[in-house]
Formats: sequence, C-alpha cells, structure tokens
Amino acid sequence: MKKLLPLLGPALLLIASPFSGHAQTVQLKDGKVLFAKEMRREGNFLFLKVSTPNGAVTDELVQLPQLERIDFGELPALVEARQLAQAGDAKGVLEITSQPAVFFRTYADLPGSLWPDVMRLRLAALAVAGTSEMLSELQKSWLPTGDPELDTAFRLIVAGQNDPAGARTAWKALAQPGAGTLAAGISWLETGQAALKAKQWREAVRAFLSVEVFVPQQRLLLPKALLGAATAFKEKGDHGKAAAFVHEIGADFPGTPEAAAAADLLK
Amino acid sequence: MGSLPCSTLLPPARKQAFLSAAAAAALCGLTSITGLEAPLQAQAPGEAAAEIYTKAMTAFSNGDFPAALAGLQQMLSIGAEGPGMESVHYSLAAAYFNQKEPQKAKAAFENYLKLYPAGVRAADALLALAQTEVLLGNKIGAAVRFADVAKLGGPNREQAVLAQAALLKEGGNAAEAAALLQELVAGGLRTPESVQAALLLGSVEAAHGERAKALGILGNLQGRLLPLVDNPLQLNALAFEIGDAFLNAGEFKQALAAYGMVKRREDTVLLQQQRIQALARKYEANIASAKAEPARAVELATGNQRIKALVDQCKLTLEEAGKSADTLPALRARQAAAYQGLGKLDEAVLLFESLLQKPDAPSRADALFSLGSLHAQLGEAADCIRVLETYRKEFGSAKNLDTALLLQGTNLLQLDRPEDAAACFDALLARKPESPHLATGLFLLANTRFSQSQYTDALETYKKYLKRFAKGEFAEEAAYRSALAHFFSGQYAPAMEGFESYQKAHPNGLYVQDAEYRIAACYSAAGKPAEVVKLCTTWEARHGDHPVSGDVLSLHADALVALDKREQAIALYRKSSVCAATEEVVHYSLFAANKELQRLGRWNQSADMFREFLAAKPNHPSQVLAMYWLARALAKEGKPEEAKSFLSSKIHAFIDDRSQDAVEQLLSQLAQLCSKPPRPPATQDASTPPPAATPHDPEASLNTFLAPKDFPDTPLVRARILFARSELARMTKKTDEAAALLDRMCKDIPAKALGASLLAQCADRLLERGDTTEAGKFYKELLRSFPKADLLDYAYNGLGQIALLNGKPAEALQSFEYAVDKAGAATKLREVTLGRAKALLQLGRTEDARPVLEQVAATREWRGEATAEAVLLLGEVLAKKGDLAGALQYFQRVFVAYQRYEKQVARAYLRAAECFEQLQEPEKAAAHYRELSSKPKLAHLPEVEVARSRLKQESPR
Repeated sequence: MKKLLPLLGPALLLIASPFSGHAQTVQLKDGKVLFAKEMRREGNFLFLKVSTPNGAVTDELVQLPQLERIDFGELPALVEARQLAQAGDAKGVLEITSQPAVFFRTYADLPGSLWPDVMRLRLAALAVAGTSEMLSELQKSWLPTGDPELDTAFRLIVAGQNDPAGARTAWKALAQPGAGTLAAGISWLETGQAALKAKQWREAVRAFLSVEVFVPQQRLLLPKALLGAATAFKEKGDHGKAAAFVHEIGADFPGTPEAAAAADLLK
Repeated sequence: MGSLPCSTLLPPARKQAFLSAAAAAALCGLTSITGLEAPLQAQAPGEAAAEIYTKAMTAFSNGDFPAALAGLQQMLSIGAEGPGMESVHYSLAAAYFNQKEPQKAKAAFENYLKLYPAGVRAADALLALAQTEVLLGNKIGAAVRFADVAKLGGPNREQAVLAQAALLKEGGNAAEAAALLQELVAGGLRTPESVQAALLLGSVEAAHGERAKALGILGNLQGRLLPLVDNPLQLNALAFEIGDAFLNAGEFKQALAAYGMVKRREDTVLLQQQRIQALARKYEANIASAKAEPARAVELATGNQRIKALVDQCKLTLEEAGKSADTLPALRARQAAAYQGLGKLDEAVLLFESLLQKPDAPSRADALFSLGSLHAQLGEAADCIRVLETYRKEFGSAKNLDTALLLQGTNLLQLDRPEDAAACFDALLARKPESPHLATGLFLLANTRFSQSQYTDALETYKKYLKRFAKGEFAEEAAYRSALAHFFSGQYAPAMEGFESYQKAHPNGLYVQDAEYRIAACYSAAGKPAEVVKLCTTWEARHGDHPVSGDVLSLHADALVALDKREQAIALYRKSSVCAATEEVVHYSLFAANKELQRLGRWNQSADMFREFLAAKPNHPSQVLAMYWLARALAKEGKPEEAKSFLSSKIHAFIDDRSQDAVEQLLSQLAQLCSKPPRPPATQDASTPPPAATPHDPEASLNTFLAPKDFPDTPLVRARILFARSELARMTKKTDEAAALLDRMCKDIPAKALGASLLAQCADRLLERGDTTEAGKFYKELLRSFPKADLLDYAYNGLGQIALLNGKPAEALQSFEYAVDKAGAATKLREVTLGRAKALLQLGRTEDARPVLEQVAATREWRGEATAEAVLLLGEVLAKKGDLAGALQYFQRVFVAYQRYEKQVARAYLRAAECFEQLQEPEKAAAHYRELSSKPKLAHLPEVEVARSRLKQESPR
C-alpha cells in the first residue's frame, strides 16, 4: 500500500492533479464560465489554463473572491474508491484516495471542492484500517470540511489515538440508538470491541448490529461489525446466527481480512 | 398522481405527483416571463392604456390575479392595439390559469395562438395549453399537446417530455414512459430537469417491476447530485416506493438498500436550505452580470424570474418538509419488516428500540408492541414481559392489548410464573371478550391452573372452553385434560367417566393410549388389582411399544405385587425400567424391583440388575444410587471386598472431576463398608471353633481401597480423601478426629478446588466454628461455580446466617427467601425457616415472625435444637409485646423440655430471670440466676457469667 503523500502548503504552484486530461469548470460570480485544462492555486489566486471555443489555450488569473464555484466533475479515482468502499476494502480506499486527498486539501476552502467527499471515504477507512502513522498524518493535515458529521468523526478518530479515556466517553455519548452518523458508527464499533474484550456478549451483539442497522451506508465499517457480531453470537453459544453472519461477510465482502477471519471463526 | 404504497404513514409531501412537479415548473416559467416581458407600448388611447397595463402587470406580479384580469380585460375593451398586445393576450390566459379557471385559460391560450401562431410566447402557450388539459382531466389531449411541445424542441422540451412521461406512467404505459425518460437522462444528470426525469424514471421502473434498475437510479441520485433535486421529499418518496416494491417481492436485502437512502427530516431540510442558498447566489450573480453586460439584461432578468419561481417552490417544499410528519417511524417499521423477512430479529429489535428513545413518540404504542412480539420470537421471555408490561401500562386500551396479554401470559409461563400468567389470561378474557385469541387464552388459563394443581379451577375453565368452543382447536385436549383434572384430584369415578367419554369421542385421538392407562390406574386406586392386570395386559397387547408403556408395565407390576405374584412383578418392573420414557418411571421401576428382590433375598439378582442399569443408562440421574445399591447388594451377598473394589473403581473414575459431586456419596459408603469388620467365614462343623479373628483396622481397610498413591495428587483428590477419612472417623465414633479432618480440609484446600458437596460441608463447618469470613467465601464459590447444584440451599442459608450474625436482617431475609425460591431448600428448610423468623424479629416484624416460629416449633420432623430455639424466640415475641407472663411460660418450657440444648437452656434461664425482674419479683429472678449458675453442664456458657454478676449485684439488697 502506498504511503500517504506529504501535504504541501497553500502556496503550492502546481500539484500532481488527479484530473489529468479532465477540464474543470470554473464558474465566476459574474456568470462567466471557464473551462480550465490546468489549474493551480497561489494564495488568493487561481492560475488557469483555459480552453477557448476556437481551441486555443489562454492563461487566466482568477481572484478567489470572484469565484462562484469550481465543478470538478466526476473523478475516476473517487468513483473507484466508492466501489472499493462498497466492497468493504478499506485499505484499497486509503490507497486510491491518497492523491486526491493531497490535491483537494489545496482547494478545501473553495466552493465545489471535493475535500469533504474524499474525507468521507478516508475517515471511514482510517477508522477500521488506519495505522498510527496514518492517524498522525491525518491529524497534521486536517482541514475542517464544513460538514459537522465529518468533523466530529475526525475528532473521534484522533481522540482514539491521543486520549483513549476521552474517546471512551465520546463513544458512549455518540452510540445512541437510531443515530445515523459516521461518528456513531465508529462509536458502536469501538464499544462492540470493548464489550467483546469484557466478554459481555449481548452488549457486543447490540453494538455491532447497530452499525449494520443504523449506518448501513458506511460500508467500510460493516465487515468489522459483522465479524464482531459473528464472534459475539458464537461466544453466546448461538452458532446458527454466528454461521449466518460468517456467510454474509463471505458473500458481501469477499477478499477482506474480515472474510478470512470469519471463515476461521467457525473452524 | 403517482401511486405510493402505505401513503397513510407518509407525510403529505410524499403524495406530490411527479406530474404536479413538472406542471409547477412549467407554470412558473409561464407566469414569470409574462410579468417580465418587455413593456407594452400602448398605442391608443395613449397614457391611460399604459397606466392600465402597468397596474395590471403589477397586480399579476403580486399574485393578485383578479385585479390583473380586470386590467387586462379593460385593455381589450378599450381596443388597444399593436404588437405589444401579444403580451396582454398571453398574460390574460396566464392569469386565468393561475386563477384556476382552466376552461377560460384554455380559450385564452387558443385565442393567443390563433392571433400569434409564431408569437414569442407560442411555445410557452402550447405548454400551458397542455397543462390546462391536465387540469381539465383530458389526459389524452394533454399527452398529445405535450408531445407537440416536445417535438418543437427549445427550452420547454424537457418539461414537456417530463409531463408526457408522467401522464404515460399514470395511464399505465410504463414502457413508453421509461423510453421517454431514458432519452432525457441519457445525456447525464446535469440539470434539475434531467434529475427530475431520473426521479420519475426510478418510480416508473419500480412500478414496472424493474426494481433493480430503479434502485440503480436511486443510488445515482445520492451524493453529489442531491443538490440538484428540486424536492428532496420526492427523493424520499422514491426510496420508499422502491423499498416497498422490493419488500413486497420478498427481496429484503434490496429493500434495505433502498430504505437506507431515505433521508431524515433534518437532512431533507438542510438539503433544501442549501439549494435555496445556491439559487440565491445565482440570482445575485445574474444581477451583477446584467450590470456588467447591459446587452444581456433581458436574458438575465428572465433567468432570474425562473430562479425566483424556483426559490419560491423550494421554500414551499422546505415549509412542507418542516411541517410534514416524521417519516422515521414508517421507515423503521419497514426496515424491521425487511430484517424480519431475512430472519434477523435482533436487528429488528434495535430498530424498534430506537423509536422508543422519545417517550412521547406517536409510534410508541406500535413500537412497544412490535418489540414485545420480537422478544417473544427470540425466546427472550423476560424482555418480552418487561416490554409488554410497559405497553399495557402506557396504552391500556390499545388495539393489540389482547395479543399483548396472550404473549405476556405465554412468556410468563415459560419463566415459570404461572400466577402472573393466569392474571394475564384472566385480563384477556375480561377485557377483550370478542378477541380472536379468546379460545387460546381460555385454554391456556385452564392449563395454567392445571399446572398449579388447582384442578377445580382448571376443570371449570376447561368446561367453559368446551361449552364455547366445542369444535375448537383445543377441544380434544381440553376434554382429555378435564378427565385428568378429576384423576389428579383423586376423583376417580368422574375421571373414569371422562376418559371413557374421551375414548368414545376420539377413538383415534392423540391421548387414547394414555386414557386407557389412566382407566387402569383408576381401578388400581379403587383397589381392584385383578381388573388392573386385565386392562394392562390388554393395553400391552394393543399398543406395545408406546411412550406410556413403561408406566403401564409398572402399574401392571404394582397390581401383581398386590396379588402377591412377586416373581411376575419383578420381571415387569425390570422391563419397565428398561423401556420407560421418563427418568422418574425408570427410577421407580428399578427400585421397586430392587425392593421385591430384597424381600426375596435375591441379592445376586439385584446386583445383576444394577450392573445392567449402569451399563445401559450411563447418564441417568439415579446412577450413583444404583452404584450404592450394587455395592450394598454385593456386601449383603457376603462380598464386602468386591463391594469395596467396585466402589473404589467408580470413585477412581470421578475423584478428580469437580463437577461430579456424587463422588462424596460413594466415598461415604466406602467408609461405611470399611468401618465394619468382615464377617467370619461360616464353618462346616459347629464343633470346630472359629479361627481367631484378626483385629479389624478400619483405617487400613480404607487405605487399601483409597490409597492416595493410586490417585493424582491434586487439591480436589486430597480433599476427597480427607472427606472419606473424616466420614470413617465419624462412623467409628471418633467425632473430634472427624471434625479435625474437616477443619484440615477447610484450611488446606482452596475453595476453588472443591466440588459442590465439599464446598457446602466445609462452609457449614467454618460457620459452625464462627469463621464467618471464610465460610462466606466458600458459600459464594458454591453459588458461583455450581449455579445448578442441588446444594444451593446450603449457600443461601449460610449467607443468611452470616448476615444475621453481622446484624443485616434485610440481607438475611433475602438470602433465606432465595434458599426457598431458587434452591427449593430441600436440605436446609428447617434452618432457613428458623433463620427467616430470626431475621423478621431483628427487623421488628414480630407479628410476621410469630407464625413462622410456631411452624418450626410444631414440625415434628424438625424436633431438636431448632424447636428449642423457636420456643425461646416465641417467648421473646411475647416479651416484646409486654406479655411477660406469657413469655415466661415459653422460657420455662425450654429449660424443662429441651435440656439437651445447653445454649438455649442458658438463654432461657437468663431471659426468665430478667422477666421476673421486670415483674418486680426479685426472689424468683435470683432463684433462676442461681439455678443457671449451679448447672455444671452450662458453666462454660457466657450466660452463666452474666447470672453470677447479677447475683452479686443483688446480694446487698
């Protein structure tokens, strides 16, 4: 797996764009629309190489206060990352979103930036497959997304690394029945793991199943949650349910480490 | 109107037709453009016309359509002319449309198109005409007109195609609608119209059975496209629609995927607010652009009017979203149904529990009921009862009360709470007499009474059931159980009548074999063994290998014993012990056969029988007893060494297994056999003197069969060998040695190493020695490691006694109650009952304590020190009430009748003396102190010291 690229400061001239070959639509507040073949940011300015209708390419300078929005279009790397997330492949998601994360961090404060979209994928992946090195990097490079759900999830993940006691309190507070946020999903996973360690099987089952029931859209959390549920059911002596979950993990998330662990569980 | 299933559960906004949405968009365009069209230059009669026009258009812009209509009609009536009149004719039609007068609007639009077939608003007029056709109910005409607009192309094309597709969908022509919409979305979902088309396409595909395609469309509309959705409520409606389609088709996983895309109300509101903000920003940008490029002013102003209309529409939707009923309960109910369909009941439980977070949620009653039912299905009886209890408390007259009562009752039965179960069934019968569950409730109530041995009530209830539901589901069983109720009440005549009538009514019934057996049993009860033999013989010939055959054979054997045909009886008992279906009958027949064999002195046959039993039923609970009897039979046969060897071998197999607490019984028996000297061999010749007997050494004998070297050296084995030696010492009257050995066990062996029986004995010994701390540890270990042991009453009693000694009567009372309720108090009933009385006394509940003490004092089987203490405490009860004379009688009874129990006697003397002091009779008091001090047997007791010191105080007086 590739390492997360180091993040560069906002004065970056031109960074490796995950959009090579794709034009970005830059809408200005005066209604003007520019199709940028290349784009870089320097402080409060955007330097664009713009395609004109006659096929020529001209340089344009846009002051950020003039900017209405940048439409980055659909990024193939994010499309693929979503597919990987659907398959529960957290490591794959972390790998494929590492470059987009670096790129969009530069534009994180601009309307239309895909920074929240990228972080939505990365935070869930980091919660289940992040190494301490990755989490330290996340903490260093973090910029608020403007989405309270993601910003809370970030704080929760970082607390898990730096302040375990505080994190435990937060998990308890966030793991409320019916809550549908990423932070709630992470909290259920963690409380489930804690219950497993304490051999509180019923509590573990409830926590893991809460991930499945209340945050089903967080597919990256599901393999771990289902494996936790299978383990807790097995320990409770309910082998039928444990086997059903093992089967489900194998069918829905083949190739994940959890699928392999689930297969071993019943041996 | 799109048909949305379960519409009653959804907020009104869901019911918005896709057509309506398209129509609204079209109308907004029409209205706003009319208002902003280039000002009409009134040709004649000059200034007045211009003024009328301006006023009319201002009224139009303000939504005052009657005023606008009046002005526009005035314009026509004054004969204004010129190209600017095109706007007047168009605006007039639009005003009628907005005034909701479709007939007039239609005529006005047709007039406009006749006058200006190539007019600037001709395309809009055509679209508006199509809309009026919809309003007039002429859907076919509308579809044709929408198709015409679509053919024309231009900015109205997408709207027209959308509206046409909506009409086609409504008309059931899903395939054509889908084709049209696919064309609209083919270019990608970039505009609000294409997103709207995708929404409609999703709905069409779902209705058309193309659920997977619909789900795909719904998935595509998530994420980055969400801001393009005009009305997020529609997106939720689509998610529900697709989810419901999957749910109804039994495709539960996909249903869950669709339901997973339903947005919460707060998210919907947020989305709509963001969309309004985006539109407002666009509006401002257009104004800025118009200033910078005056040539584009009209174009941008037109665009802004569209934006304004969209903003109005979005605000309306936002308002609706804010006011709409919360879709969460409907969503959770559907998700729960899908999980149930997948057999995932635990997940469904979580969903309903989440609905109960708010105590005043409108769906609370349904959620509680569903949750209770789910717990019942999961076999979580305690949770089911708890939830349904809350349901009944909060919604006492809810529609599902009858089902709740039935479920609660059946689950209470599972938890062995028949009295509470009966209360539920009673409530069901009383409160819901028309319930479809009435029959089941009545039958279960009767069964509950039957299980509580309340046969009269059970009989009465079965009768009620049979009267009301003579051909009901449980009629056969009710008839049979009625006869059984008589039988178990000892009413054999009506029982026989009942069984016979059951046989007649149900010759092939489920209980025919049992009924025939019970009839024979009735004859047995009537003391007619010959009849019993006859009936049992017939039964055996007719039914042979049946689960009741063991019972029949043992009944047959009992009758043969009564007829003194013991040989035949033994054979039948042994047959019964082999084939009986229940452990109880096996046990009964085995030991009944043993009794007859003993009577006939056939110890060898007895030994053979137990050997066979031990081999055939290795897991039967009577195994240890059988081993005991086998050893005994061997000993009686004159083979004590063989008996000891047999016991030794069995002990060897289990001695290091902590869970086998029956080992102690065998150890005790081995010790007993070892304690007795072997019988001298019989001599042939009476004149020959017997050889000199070697002195018997019980300990050596025990060591032979229980040599420590033959066993693993573990704490448990050491403990068990100590126990055997202690038993031997006890049997050979070496009581001090027996106690010392037990003390050694308590000291040397950790509680965690001991089995249940030794834990109980060690703990009792520690308590007897007053070491309550250590005793408490052993009792707690017994409870923790052997929660199903038969000896738990030792633990509860011991912990209760310790609590009493520590001055914690409430805790003690609880322990004594557990001893009875949880452990059955099979061994410690006497101690537990007396302990309970003492706890009540300490709590000051003398009136509650008194009958308990009377019970102890009156129970013949408990006669002994407990009786003495109970009598003494009865005296204390009266003393507390101030009845000193009455109390004295009890105290005197103790030292007169129970002299063996020194501790109680000393206490009784002391208390009697104290009563006399209170009665101002110092001489009698002194006499009692003196008597207490003079008894040498009591000299070691602390009461004597007290008596002496009081005598000293008295003497100066």
